[in-house]
Amino acid sequence: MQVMPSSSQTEWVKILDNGLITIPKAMRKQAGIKDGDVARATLVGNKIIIEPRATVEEYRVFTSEQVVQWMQDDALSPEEVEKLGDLFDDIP
Amino acid sequence: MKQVFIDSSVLVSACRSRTGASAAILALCKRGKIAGYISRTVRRETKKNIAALGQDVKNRLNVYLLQHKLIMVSEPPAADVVALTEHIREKDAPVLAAALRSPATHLVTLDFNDFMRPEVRAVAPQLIIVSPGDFVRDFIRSID
Repeated sequence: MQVMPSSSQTEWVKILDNGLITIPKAMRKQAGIKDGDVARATLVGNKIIIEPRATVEEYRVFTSEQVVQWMQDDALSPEEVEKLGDLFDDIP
Repeated sequence: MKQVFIDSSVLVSACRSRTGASAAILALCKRGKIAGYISRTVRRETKKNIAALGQDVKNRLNVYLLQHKLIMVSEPPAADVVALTEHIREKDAPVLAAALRSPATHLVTLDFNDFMRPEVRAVAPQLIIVSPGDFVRDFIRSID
């Protein structure tokens, strides 16, 4: 299997039992993969792309529509606010 | 005392409105009525999502983080997060994994579409996943 982490580095690696491979040390270092990490393997055509978790980790970006809906869902009735007493005094 | 993991959606809402159920949950944390847990992912996600808003909103988040006795839990192992991606969107998995690793008995979220699906509840049976509004109404009933 050919491992192509970037256009500037290509190395051949041997496939062992159960598909086990060793990613060359220089590639691991450049990609930020450390021992014990979990990486994501993606099959694209006949190529396998291995990505360190740090590069695939994403955060949710909430849309304006979502937030507007949340504000509506989050609203309390005047009676409920009254029952909470001075609780909201703690909110800056 | 109830142990509550607070999703980013709740923190964002509490930053934007100081009279909603989300803000009430943060106030309950400050008063020691409940124990509130967050993760670094929740903190980063919240900061990112309010970055374009006014300074008053950002200041409110800082007050929550510094004064409301929120407990920062350890980031879950990557393997936990990856395993959960079979059941929940990849971007939601770090939050659910952190909540499952925390001592929380409840996960409060406004992200109903993702966190309240039966499949998600099935992989997190130890967590009661509720909206801030339902949580606060339950609290009001308990003090009535």
